[in-house]
Formats: sequence, structure tokens, C-alpha cells
Amino acid sequence: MDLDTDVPMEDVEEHQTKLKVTNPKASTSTNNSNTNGRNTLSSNVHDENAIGSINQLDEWIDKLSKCEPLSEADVKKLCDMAIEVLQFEENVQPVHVPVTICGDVHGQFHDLIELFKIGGPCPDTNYLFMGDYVDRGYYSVETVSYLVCMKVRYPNRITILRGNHESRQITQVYGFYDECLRKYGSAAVWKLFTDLFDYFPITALVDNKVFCLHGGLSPMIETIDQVRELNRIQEVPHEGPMCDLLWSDPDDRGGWGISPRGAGFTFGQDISEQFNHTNDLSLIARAHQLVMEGFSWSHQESVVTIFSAPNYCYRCGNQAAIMEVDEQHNRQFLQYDPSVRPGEPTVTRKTPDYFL
Amino acid sequence: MSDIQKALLRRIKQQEAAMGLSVLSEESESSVSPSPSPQPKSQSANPQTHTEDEPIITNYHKFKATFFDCSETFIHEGVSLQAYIKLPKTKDTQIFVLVHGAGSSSMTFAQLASNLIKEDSNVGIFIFDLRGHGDSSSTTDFSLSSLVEDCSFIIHKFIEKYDLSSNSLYFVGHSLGGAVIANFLKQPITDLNIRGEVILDIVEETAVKSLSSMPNFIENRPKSFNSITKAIDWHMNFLLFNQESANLSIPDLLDTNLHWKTDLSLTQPAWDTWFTGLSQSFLTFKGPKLLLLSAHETLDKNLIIGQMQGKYQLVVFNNNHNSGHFIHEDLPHQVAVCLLDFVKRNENPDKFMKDELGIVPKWGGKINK
Amino acid sequence: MDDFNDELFPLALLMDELKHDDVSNRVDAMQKLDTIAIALGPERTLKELLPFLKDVAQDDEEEVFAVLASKLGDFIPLIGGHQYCEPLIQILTILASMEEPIVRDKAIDSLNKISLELTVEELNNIFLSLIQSLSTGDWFSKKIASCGLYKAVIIKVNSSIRKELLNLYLKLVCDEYPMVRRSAASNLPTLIDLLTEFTEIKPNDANKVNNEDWDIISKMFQHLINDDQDSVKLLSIDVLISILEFFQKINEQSFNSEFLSSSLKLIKDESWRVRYAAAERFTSIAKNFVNNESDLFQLIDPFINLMKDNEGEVRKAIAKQLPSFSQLLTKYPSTKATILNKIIPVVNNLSQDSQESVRASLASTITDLSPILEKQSTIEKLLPIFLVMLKDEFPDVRLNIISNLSVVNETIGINLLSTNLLPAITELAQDHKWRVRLAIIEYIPKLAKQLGEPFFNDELLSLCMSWLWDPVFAIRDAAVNNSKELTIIFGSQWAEHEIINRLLNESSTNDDNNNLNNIDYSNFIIRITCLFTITRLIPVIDYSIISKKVLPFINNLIVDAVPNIRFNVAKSYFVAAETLIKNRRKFGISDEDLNKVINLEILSNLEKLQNDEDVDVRYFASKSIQGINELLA
Repeated sequence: MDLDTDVPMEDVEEHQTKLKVTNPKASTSTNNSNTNGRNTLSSNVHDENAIGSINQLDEWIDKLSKCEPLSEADVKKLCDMAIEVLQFEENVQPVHVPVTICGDVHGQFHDLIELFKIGGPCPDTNYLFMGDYVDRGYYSVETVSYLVCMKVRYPNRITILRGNHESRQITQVYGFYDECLRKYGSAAVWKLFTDLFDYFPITALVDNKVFCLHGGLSPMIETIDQVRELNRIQEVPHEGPMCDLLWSDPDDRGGWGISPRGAGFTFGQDISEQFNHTNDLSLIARAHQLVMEGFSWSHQESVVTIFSAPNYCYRCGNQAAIMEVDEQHNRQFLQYDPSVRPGEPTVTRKTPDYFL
Repeated sequence: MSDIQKALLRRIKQQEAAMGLSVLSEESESSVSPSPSPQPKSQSANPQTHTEDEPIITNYHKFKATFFDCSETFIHEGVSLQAYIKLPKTKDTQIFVLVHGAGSSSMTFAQLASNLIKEDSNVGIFIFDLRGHGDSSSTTDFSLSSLVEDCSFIIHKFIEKYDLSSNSLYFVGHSLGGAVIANFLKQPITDLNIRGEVILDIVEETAVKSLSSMPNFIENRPKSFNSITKAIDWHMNFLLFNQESANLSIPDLLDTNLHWKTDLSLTQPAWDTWFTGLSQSFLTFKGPKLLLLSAHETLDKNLIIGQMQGKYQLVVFNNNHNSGHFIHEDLPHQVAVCLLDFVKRNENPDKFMKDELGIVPKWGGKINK
Repeated sequence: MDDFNDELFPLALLMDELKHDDVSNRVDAMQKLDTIAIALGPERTLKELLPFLKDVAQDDEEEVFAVLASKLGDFIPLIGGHQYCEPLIQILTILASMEEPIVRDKAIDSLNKISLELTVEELNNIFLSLIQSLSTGDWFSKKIASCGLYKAVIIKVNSSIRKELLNLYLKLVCDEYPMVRRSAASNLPTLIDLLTEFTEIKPNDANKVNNEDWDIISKMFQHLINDDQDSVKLLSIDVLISILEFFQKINEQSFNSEFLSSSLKLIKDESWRVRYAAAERFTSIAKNFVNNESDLFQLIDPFINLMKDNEGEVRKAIAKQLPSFSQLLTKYPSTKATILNKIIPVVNNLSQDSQESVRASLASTITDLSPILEKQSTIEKLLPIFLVMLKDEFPDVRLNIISNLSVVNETIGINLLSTNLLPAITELAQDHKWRVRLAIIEYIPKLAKQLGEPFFNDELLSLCMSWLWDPVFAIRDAAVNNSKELTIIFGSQWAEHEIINRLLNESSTNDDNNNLNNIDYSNFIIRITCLFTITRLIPVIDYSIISKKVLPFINNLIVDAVPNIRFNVAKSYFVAAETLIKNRRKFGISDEDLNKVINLEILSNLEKLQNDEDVDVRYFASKSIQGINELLA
């Protein structure tokens, strides 16, 4: 994995404590606001506030689709609106067919736009993204802002799950934190987004048949109901069921294995088959691993890996893919290459002065 | 800078502090200079050179004499290799084989070794000076293949001599040492019980790139020092961040005339053999792997693909500004804990999950290695 | 940030940002330099900002310097006018003397920009001494910088100073450092062009360009063409072109044979880089010899040799010159046969060159040969080559041919063209790369217009329909748009029979075709694509089709199981209503009929959708109702 439990990450600890102190909303608002929950925004076009929000969101979507980041103040407003939507989603968010299922994006904004060219624009096409919107690519801010905007604007048309990179710790290592500092001059926007990530649902269930999540299975989770019992509104833990769902990988070896990543587990075909049988599933769809063809079957088609960042990190040479699931649950994979665009800004990595 | 500019600067700092912006701001005014500052040549100016060194030298000799169970010289094809050994307590405790980088020596691992023992007194530790380094014999052949052959030879001899073939071996290499062990471990070694590979702060692409600036670095560093203390200060100025570690590692780098024991310019002919193919070699090792980076995530293509396919564990210490390339010297305790966790998790995952994390699988059987 | 009014703030902010660790931040800060100067006002910009920048200009990284250098070019108004230019020029001189080309070039551009704002007196004082001191500087980068500055003064000084300047420049042309010679060589054509222009505008000026000036320039050219560095030598080609153009302008041909042999020497140079540079500029060289048939004739064999050059880059460059050079040849009837007999066989070889970039380069120009060869030779000689290239494995080759076909059409007519090319186009239309398919779709309306309806229906229609079911949305979307474009060309009736009936499974051919061509609506993508296509057609088809075919189809979809279809139905209703309201005169709809359709059909269905269980359906239904009401009001 990317972080070790005992490595001191002072900033993170500080932020987590702060979160607990200053953000009591998470625990209190659940009770009182169900009545004006997820449908408030666009349920009545004549409601002036709702129209105001919709116009505002459409404006933001316009701006973001040109890869221009929102102002810090607008990000704040957006994240507040997003919490109102996301906190009422379930740990296992139900999703209907037809839907197009996508894997890691990692801040490759132009490739996300390419994805919509391949799969069709949202809201005309329904989308389910399985996490990892930020880090590594150069446009994490625009990418996550865009997807969150779409989520708030069309909550029924797009589902955004949490990936292991939607975390305070990971984003400090892999670029989202630095990008926020660079684009906004402070960590405020990073804090807003990472606080928001805590509300993202961790799994989705497409028509009770396709179980979607970022990483994979957990030895602590035998049934989908056990996912529903988790308290997900927190930083991704270093271990335990929630961590596993975001970190685990399928493996050729049977049974549970220790993950070479240092977090989560590897699970074999016997495990996948048993899980699908117990929960009456036809498929587990997950992301998290780079696969050169953009998608890859494992465990005799019990598990599929989908990766939607072509030429990952602008250097890995892989194809990307998305999976369309139609009303009859037929699956179609669409593979695609990086978008055609002028070269990415070159982030000059300083070579160290001493390296022997 | 003019006075008005200085005043402005101060004010901006105050404003930042007032706004609480410095919480995450990365640099402080006294940030470490990024390149070695040339040492003043007039070294004779300081008359009390050697007396200030005395406690440091005493402490250094004491450590070498008391911490290890034995120190031993192995001869490989005419090259004598100096090793320091802390034997494992039992037949089933683990041994760490620590391999240092170019221009360094065994004692770069002094603090890491004592922290490992502090955390788990049962483990064994084996450190040796690469040829042309520390107290091993000098040479002009620094090619990677020779270094790897030395490594293979000395490990086999050590395991044989002390009858340790049942103990698990964990290889840890820093910088060039990482390249040595990665190359050594890339083909299956059936006669040793190798259970894990750890490389510290070395990435092929970065390393290959930075080689071009090395001649300049070697040229500009002082040829000798007035005192050990001065040598430590020089390192602490930009390379090292932990005084305690430097007090043990630096005395080991200098001869009695306070010249470098290793003439790095002699290694130059071998540079193009050192790092090329490192990432692939690292990924080829079948067992558990850990890559530990000191500052930023600077993976190259092969390492990114490997990481994104979940092939190894990556730890990046990027939040800590008191660390650099010699991460094991700068943060010996954190590195030690990290290594021991890696070992525990991989030695017996099921037990580790149960005992350390309180996780007992609800289904699907126990957790395999 | 509440200290914004603080008068020190802008400068403080800049200084702070210029301390940032990350270069990109410092670059961003520099980008805002003009804003800061405006905030400070001219006096403080001059007294505080410039001294600070002078320090910065000696201690940062090249990215930051480059921005600084380019920003300072626009600083004259910000410091209160040209009379205060000296400190600005000082900073730019520091930057111009740096070794990093990107910084130097920006600084020189800015200095030249500033020179335009200076009086002749200021130029003669400040600029001239700047040029002199840089030209004789102690470091090569200063000399390099000086080369870019001569153009600011060369036609603004009197003839004796000009001679001095040219002699100084000659020294740069002969400098011991190749970098300096390179810089001198690459700036020389601009200087010659300026002198040409000056001679043209003021032929009788007291300071007009004289033989002594040309002697010096001629010496410069002789040095350059004989330079032992290829990278310098190749720059003499542009110098030669500039000199040739000067003599063309003054109608002086006595030196032609001398220059022709210089040209041939460069074209046949043993270094491929020199040959490449000559190939790139072949027509520019040749056009100066066009008035003399035997001179021009001497260039044909060298041209053909470049087409057969060993180096791909050379072949790629000369392929680009093919039409323009051939055009020059058409001036003389005798050389026309030469094109067919000598050049075309080599073109044929080039079309099967081993390097794909050479073939792509040829593909982008070869079609321009057809007006030169005229109809018969195009059919006999060029069409076979086009066909080969249309089947090239490299998509760029195929695309370059396709997108330049119209000129061929003008020469030989569409029938010949299409019967010959259709098979290749069909193949491209099924390329596995979606952007290749997209490029073809975008070309279809153009082709359709030229082919005419019957031919199109027979040969291309089914292809166009198949794109509607492409797995990639962008292709489906282009196909939807394509059907609209085709309807504009072939008309409403055509659209009804060939598109709408097919999409509605009402096509007459289906009766005897076992429903094989029937569309299976069970997939949501198919239904929504039908809806998109039909909606896109509404504005370009007749009322009767809208009322008899389109609206019933849309009405059926209001109960579709998929909400995405239902809210697109809501959007479609708006398009239908808008078309009907706007075109009611043209359609000849009575107010009563219009009200009936809008109220009883469109609005009443939209009201049903307004109570849909899905929030997005409700939203788009309300939005359409609102839009229709606004149109009616």
C-alpha cells in the first residue's frame, strides 16, 4: 500500500481531529433533514431556490467542461450542496439499468471528456463511477469538481463511489493536495473535497445483480447487508472491512491472501463465487488495478476489472474501457485511447542533487 | 534584498501566520539549501579540531564494539569484505540483510539496526561494507555484477558458517544497495530462505537521470575535513537530518587523515551498469516487496504499472521535512517500525491480522501468505 | 487578504509569490506583472518595481526569466513613456545576454518591440551603443543576442553608420563560435528584406542601399555557403532567397547564373540537413529563375533527385513542393511533357514510399497536381495513385487524400471520381479507429451533394444508416447530424422514405424482406438514437411528416421504461413546438390546427411528464412547457 499505519503523517492526524471537532454536521443532520432530502433540488422547477441552484450548477458545469476550475467560494458552495445529496445515499447505493460503469479516472480530465464522447454525455447516459477521480493526473481539481457537479445536478443519473484515493492521506502523497495548493494557493479546497469524500457511497448494486465497488471483497464482509451496517462517513481506515472494499484485489490463488499492497486482501475464485452465490449476484465489477486492455475478466467471469484512465499517468501505454449494461443486463465493453490534445503541461520533476 | 523588501517579507510572514496559513505551508525561512555549499578552503583556521571530536569518536568505536555480536572479514576472490553481525535469537526469527549505497558504509544503518533491535530484540542483523567502501578492501571494479557476486558470496558464507538456513531473510538495500539486492534477487535463489525485499529511496528513472549531475557533486565536495565534527556538520547541512545517526555514520566514511575512504570518482566507469533495469528487477522478485521513498512519489513507468496492479507496497514519507535520501538515518525509528510491520504481516498474515489488527475472517478460511 | 487596499500590497504579493518553491507558481506570478505595474502606477513601477525586477533577473530559473522578458516588451506605457526606457532596456539586456535561448529570444523580441516606440535619436543613442557593445561582447551569448537587434536600426541610420553596422555584422557571420554564426545567419534574411523594402519605398533616398553595402552582404553569403558547419550552411539558403528577391525586385539579372550555381550547390549538398532545408524552400528558390527557361530547366533533375533522396525527411519536404514547382514549369510548353514523363513516375514511387510520413506528406499535396495535368492525364496517371493511397495502411495518408478531393472533382467530374474511389471510402468508413470513421462521416454531405440522390442511395445510404448504430456515441451523434445535413441536400421526402420510415420500421422494402432490416427497439441506446435522429430532423422536414410520423413516434415514448428517454421526449416536444410555431406561415398551418397540436398533443403530453416519478423528467418537461409558453406569448 501507500502508507503504513505507523508512519507519522502529522498533517493528516491534525486534520482528522479538526474534522471531528468542527464538523458535527455529519452526525446531527442525518436525523432532521430527510424531508427535504435528495429530491429537493430539481423537483419543482418553479421553486426559485431550486432554479437558482440549477442555473448555478449548469453554469459551473459549463465552466468545468472547458477545464476551468471553480473559485474557492464556489467549491465551498458545491461541497455543501453535495453533502446534502450524498449523505442520504446508502453504503450500497441502488442503481438501475441501463447504466455505464467506469473505473479509475485519476485527474485525466481530457480523457474523462473522451469517455463521455465514447459513452454519450450525462444525463442522457447514466453513469456509475467506481472511484479514484483524483491524484496523479494534472487535472484532479477539475475532474472531481466536474463529477461532483454532475452528481448534484443529476443525482439519479450518475453515481460516484469512493476509491482508495478519495482519502486525506493518499491525496497528500499522489498529487491532489499539491494541485490544490498550486491552483488555489492554500489547502482549503483540498480540505473541502477530502471532507466531502467521507460522504461518498462505498459500493453500488445494479438491479440487485452487479455489485460495484472500487477494490474488492473483505474477509469481514460475507453479505451485502453487512456493508449496509458499516459507518462509512469517516476517513478511509488503515484496516477493516471499509478499507478492504476500497483496497482488495482478485488473485489467481484461491482463498484470502495478504495483499502485496500492504492494505486490503487478495481473494481467489472460490471467494468470489461464494460471495456471488450467497448474495445472488451475477457479477462483481471493480476498478483499482491498471489493466492494459482497459478491462479484464477474472475468476471465470465472476469479477471484472474496469480501468478508465487511458495511457495512465501519461506514460503507461494502456487502453481504457467502460462497460455498458443494458436493460436486459447485456454487457458491452467500449475501449478507447487517450484523447487527442496538445501536450500535457510538463511538470518538471527536480532531479535530486545526490543519489548514490 | 533592499530594506524595504525585507520589511515587506516580514510583514507577509506575519500576515500569513495571522491568517493561519502557515499550518500547511511547506517552507520555512531556514530551509535547507538544496545543493552542497562549497566548503571554505582555509581549514587550518580552527585549532581545536580534534578535541571536539573525542566524544564522537569514542561513541562510534563503542557502538561498533558493543552493539554487534561479532564483526568478521570475508574474502571473496581476493577482495576482503567487512561484515557486522547481530545474530538472531532463535532458529525461527528473522534476519535483516542491510546493503548500503555508493559512497556510504555499513554504519549508515547503525541507528536503524539499533531501532530494529529495540523494537524486536529477537531479530538478526547482517551488514557489510561493499567493496571499496568502509573497511572492505579498495578496488577499481565497481560494476554491478561484481557487487552482486560479493553480496551473494557473503550471504551464503554467513548463513553456512552460523547455520542459519532455517531463518527467514529480509533484504533491505538503500540506493545503490537497492540495485544490488534487486539484481541479486531477480532470479530464484533456492538455497536461501528469502522472504522479502525492501528498497529504500531508489527509483530507476530518477537515479539514471541524476547520475549526470554526480560528477559535479563529486568535484565540488571537500576532499577532506579538518575534523569529524566538521564532516558531520557538512553532511548535516544538506544530506542528513539526524545528528545521532550522523555521529555514527560519518566517522565510518573517513580515514585517519580525514579523507574519504571511498573515492567516488573511481566508481564512475560502473555507473551505467548500476541502475538500468532496476525497476524491472525489483518487480521480478516473486515474494513480498516494499519500496520506501523519502520525499515525493517519483515512480517510473514500470513501477507505476506495478503499483497500479498491486504488485508491491509503497510507502512515501512525504510529510516529513526532516528527512532526505538517507531516510533510514533521518527517521530510523519509523523505518524500523515499517520494516518490522512488513515482516510481521508477511511472515504469518493470519496471526498478524488477529494479534495486531484484531481481524478474524468471518468467512473464506484463514489468510494465506 | 483584507489588506488589499494597502498600497504596498501588489508589490508585496508579487515578491511573496516569487519566493514560492514551485517554479510554476513563480511563472504564474510573473504573468501578472502588468497588472501589478498598473496597480502601482508609472512612477512607482519605475522606481520600485524595476529595481526589484533587476534583482530578480539575476536570480531565478529560465521559465520565470522567459515570462519576465516577454512581459517587459509591453512596459513602455506602464513606466510613463519611451523617455524612461533605459532601466527597462538594462533589465532586458541582462536577460538577452543569458545562455538559455528561450529567455534570450523573448528578451530580444521585447527589445525590438520597445525599439518601435523610440525616437530616431533615442535609437541612435541608446540602441546603437547597445548593439555595438553586445556585438563585440566578451561572451558568445551577448553576440548571439546582438544579431537579433540589428533589424531595429538598419534602415533608420544613415548610410555611413549602416556600412559600419554591416561590417560589424560581417564579423558576427565569421565569428569563431558556430552558435554566433548561426544566429547571424538566421537574422540576415530579415535584414536583407528590410533593405529591399527600403529600396522599393524610397528608390532615390540620399541614404539608399549602394554597391558597397551589397559587397559586404555578398561576402557574408560567401562565408555562410562555405561554412564548415551544416547547421550554419543550411541557413545560407534563406539568405540566398532574400538576395534573389532583391535582384528580382530591381530587375537585375546579370548575377543569375552565379546564383543558380550557388543554388545547385546547396540543393546537392552532401549533408542531408542542407538538402532538406533546400527541399523545403525549393519553389521559393525556383521562382526566381522562372523567367529564363534554361535556368528553370536546370532545376528539374535536382528536383527529381531530391524526390529519390536517401533521407526520408528530404523526400517528405520535397513532396510538399510538388504542385507549386510543377505549376512553375507549366509556364513553358516544352517542360509540360517533362512533368508527365520524368516527374510522375517518381511520384508513383513516392506514393509507395517506405516511410508513412513521406506518403502522408505526398497525400496532402498530390491532388493539387490534377488541375496542372488536366482531365485526361489525371484519369490515366493520378487516379491509380490516389486509389493506392486511399488504401494505405496509415490513416493520415487516406485522410489527406479524402479531404483534398474537391480539386480532383473539379478536373474530372464526380462520376469518374466516385466510381473509382467508393470502395476505398467504404473501407475507411469501417476503420476500427473511431476518429477515422468520424472524418469520413463529416465528408459524406460534401460527397453526397456531388454524387446526387440516386447514386447516393445506391452506394452510401446504408453505410450512413449503419453509423447510427455504432458503439461509439460520437459516431452515432455525427451520423444523426449527418442525416440532417443529407436531408437539407435531398429534401424532406427523401428523409421520410430513406430515414424516418426505416427508423419507424415502416419502410416499404421491409414487407418483402422478412423484417430483416427491422430495428430492434429493446435496447435503450437504439431507442434514444432514433429519438435523437428524428428530433434533429424536425427543423428540416415538412409539416405533414412531423404530424403524421414524428409526433406519433415521440408520443409513444412518453411511457418508455427508461427515464433518459422520457426526458429527451420532453426536450423533443420543445423542438417540435418551436418548429411549428416558427414555420406556421411556411407550413400553412391554421391557428386552429396549430393550437390543436400544441395544446392537445404536445402540452398535454408534457403535463403528463411533469408528473413523472423521475425528477429529471419533471424538470425537462417543466422547462419545455415554460419555453413553449414563452414562444406562444
